[in-house]
Amino acid sequence: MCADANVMEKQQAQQGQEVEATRTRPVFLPCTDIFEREDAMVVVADMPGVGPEAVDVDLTGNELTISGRVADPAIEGHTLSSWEYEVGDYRRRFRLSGGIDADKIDATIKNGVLQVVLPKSKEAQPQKITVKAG
Amino acid sequence: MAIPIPNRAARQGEPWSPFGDFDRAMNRMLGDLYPTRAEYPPANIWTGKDDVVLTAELPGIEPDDLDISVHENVVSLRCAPREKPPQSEEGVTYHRRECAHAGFSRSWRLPFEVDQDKVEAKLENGVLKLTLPQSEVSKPKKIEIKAT
Repeated sequence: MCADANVMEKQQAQQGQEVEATRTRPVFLPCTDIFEREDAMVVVADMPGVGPEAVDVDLTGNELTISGRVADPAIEGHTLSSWEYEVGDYRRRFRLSGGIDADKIDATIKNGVLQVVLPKSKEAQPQKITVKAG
Repeated sequence: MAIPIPNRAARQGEPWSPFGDFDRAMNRMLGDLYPTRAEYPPANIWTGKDDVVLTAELPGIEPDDLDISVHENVVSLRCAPREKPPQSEEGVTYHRRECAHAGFSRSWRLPFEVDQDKVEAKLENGVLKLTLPQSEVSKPKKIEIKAT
């Protein structure tokens, strides 16, 4: 799986090949917790190494895309002597069931954890219906 | 940039085995998917001339939760469990739970004694970068040969 930089072969495009990133760094799916409150959906994703300026949250229709870029992990003057985890960018897409108020989405990232709060639109919130004894 | 080979695949002096090459090839392939990881958290170690830098991904950890201690040539990392998002609140339904929240404790033995006063720890965006310089006393001393 190592790319040989000296020999460039033409890569035949396959049918339906996914859109590629411009960088060759691996892209990981961040571990994500998703839970639903009465008033909002909350998505919490682990993206260590991603700062506030490197994160992107996009809601198109019902598809939520969260992505984050990390800096090159190489340390000047040092060589990697023990390797237990790979460093890469993050990207994940979720299909929501709809009913999100897109204008009120709130996203914050702290300590490499992204939290996206997606408030439900009024129509999507549970309506309390009183049942009359009849 | 060459992909570094995990320690597991670079052992020398192993007794010859008809499966040796195949094993190593499999380990290397699987190593790309699952790097050697005996304990949590996984850490990468970068070796320099006089020091070693240890990096680990610790998302959601505050500096106060971490306990780093250094003794001679052993570095220990201990951490309290992470704050979980609300789960027992009224009206909260979980759709997906993938993030780890448990605490951990792990130690590393380095090939030299660490200068405790010069250790630097930085926790930025959930990534810990621990710089461990070699103590002056343990550095090899060049010995001058006197000409007679």
